[in-house]
Amino acid sequence: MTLPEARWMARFATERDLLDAIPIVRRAGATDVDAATPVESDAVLDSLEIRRSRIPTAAFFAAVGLGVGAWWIEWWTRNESFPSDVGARPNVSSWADLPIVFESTVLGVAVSSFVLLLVALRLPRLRHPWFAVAQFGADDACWLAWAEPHASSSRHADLAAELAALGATTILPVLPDDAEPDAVENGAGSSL
Amino acid sequence: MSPATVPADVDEESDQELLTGRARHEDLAERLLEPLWSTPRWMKPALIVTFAMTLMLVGAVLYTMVSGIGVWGNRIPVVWAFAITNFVWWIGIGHAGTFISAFLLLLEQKWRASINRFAEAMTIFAVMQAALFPLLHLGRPWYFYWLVPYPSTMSIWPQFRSALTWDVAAISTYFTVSVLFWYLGLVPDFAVARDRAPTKARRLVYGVFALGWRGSASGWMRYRTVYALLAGVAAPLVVSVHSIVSMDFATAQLPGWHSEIFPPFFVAGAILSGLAMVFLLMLPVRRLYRLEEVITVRHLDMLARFTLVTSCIVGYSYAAEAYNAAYGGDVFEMSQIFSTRARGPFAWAFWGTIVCNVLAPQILWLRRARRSAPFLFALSFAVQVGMWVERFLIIVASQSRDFLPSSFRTYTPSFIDGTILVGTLGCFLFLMLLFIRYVPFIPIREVQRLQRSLAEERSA
Repeated sequence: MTLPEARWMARFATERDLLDAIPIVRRAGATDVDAATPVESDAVLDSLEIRRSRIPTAAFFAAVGLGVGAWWIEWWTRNESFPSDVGARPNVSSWADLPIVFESTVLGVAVSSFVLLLVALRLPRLRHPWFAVAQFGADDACWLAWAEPHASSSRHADLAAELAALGATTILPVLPDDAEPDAVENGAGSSL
Repeated sequence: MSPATVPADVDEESDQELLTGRARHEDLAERLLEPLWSTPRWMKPALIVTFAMTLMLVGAVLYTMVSGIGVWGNRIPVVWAFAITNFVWWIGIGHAGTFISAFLLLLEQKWRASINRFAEAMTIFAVMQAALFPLLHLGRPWYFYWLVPYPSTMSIWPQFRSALTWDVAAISTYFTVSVLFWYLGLVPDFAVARDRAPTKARRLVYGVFALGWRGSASGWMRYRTVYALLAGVAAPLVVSVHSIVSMDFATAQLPGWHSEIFPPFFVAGAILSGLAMVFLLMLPVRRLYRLEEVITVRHLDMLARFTLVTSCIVGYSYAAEAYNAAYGGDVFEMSQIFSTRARGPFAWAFWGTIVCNVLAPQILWLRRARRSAPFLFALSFAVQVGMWVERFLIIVASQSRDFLPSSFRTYTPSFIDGTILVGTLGCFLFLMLLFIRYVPFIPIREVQRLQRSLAEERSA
């Protein structure tokens, strides 16, 4: 019997077990493989082959934009809009412009990178299918998430058995956002 | 024992001291969340007292706004007095947080993990107190937005060649970056609090602040990238903010102010007072919450070393200031440094500054002193007083005796001056208490990461 796409999560007590399970799930043809760990792990990132973030590049352009914008405002207000003689100081004075250009550039990096992080992770988001999975986040366990597009029930059972042998203590389905969370808690998943 | 094994053993021993006891992750997370779920007996009276002091501040600020800053002790020629002294002092205190958090992160110093959140919160609350003073000093603080370049009908713009306008940009940037850096660090810990909160209401509140963080691998990767990026940009801000504040003085022609050494001198002084404030706040909290396993003697030792180094830089700056005055040969400058300050009406402040900021911290050369919490607390109090008096000396002494002897005047602060200073202290402590009560003040995930890293090193 072939099933429609299904999403699953497996709980592992240790990161070592999680690392062993990632290639197994991949080999079984799973897609959207992701993991949740209490603290960041370089080994998990390497294993999942997650690409480097492009946030720094985008933040660089935002910072340059804000820095140049600040410099232009300083130049325009002093030279075009309202030139004034203050203590015989020159109107065009790049040295006097530097502090505000520097601060604006730094502000550009900070604000843009923070906003881009929220956009990249689609945050803030108070509801997520993972939160409905029983025991998720309740302790410092590691979780592996994946999707099985059109897998047969027997193939899923084989994969589940393999993961259990690697140390998965629970394998549960991940229901879409609009599904009833009770379905999971009532045992729709397979506790191993 | 072969010579090659000695450093390895020593390293292992010193690293172990960063965390003691509690070997498992689970224990540590639960342990560090405990302060969020219960209110200690001392918390309520402390909140009441500090809230009363905050109300005092509100009253004094309202009185100043209604009456004008004439109710302060500022009189010609001392036009910058208590308020600007407080401003520079509070901004200085706000430096240690970002210094500890950003600099030490970039330098991969593991010992920052237990104390960085605390120091960052201190930074934010201190900058909030600092910002109050220049705002009030405007005279009409409700027109503060004139400092921002908005398109007005009269085409009047902020004067971008003034160091005071640079201050606005520097402090607002520093505050914004500090808040973002602090909050970003908090997000994974808010998620831990959300997932383990005992009541639904708490789960909801911490859930809102956690923004939906789930600790996914892709999330951690982007999070670390942005966190490092923020640390990278926050680090130069530590240097730039107080350098710009120092230019408020250094760009003036006043004897005692017009000095090239001011930017590094101010930055070192700021970090010294900030470190002292970290000790003053952290030591009681460490004791009251029994956090000796997480904030270990090793942390105290490392912070004390930084205190000693910055104290030496400050001492060097005092000496360089005197040397430059003597070598420059300007009579007004020499009179300010050697007569007004060292032997004149401000001698008490001058020698008090030397004793508190330079001589007393030299005891930290002794290992025992660096590892003694009561001694560090007492020393930090002395340094804090010394740093405030130093700013008072720079600001008030220089103005009270400048070029024209006929305009020499002494300065006496008013009751409102004192009330505002005490009020800001109360407001600062009130905010710190709220932070300790409701926010994971020890970074849970950071400490767990440290714990894992130390375990891996030991097993390797």
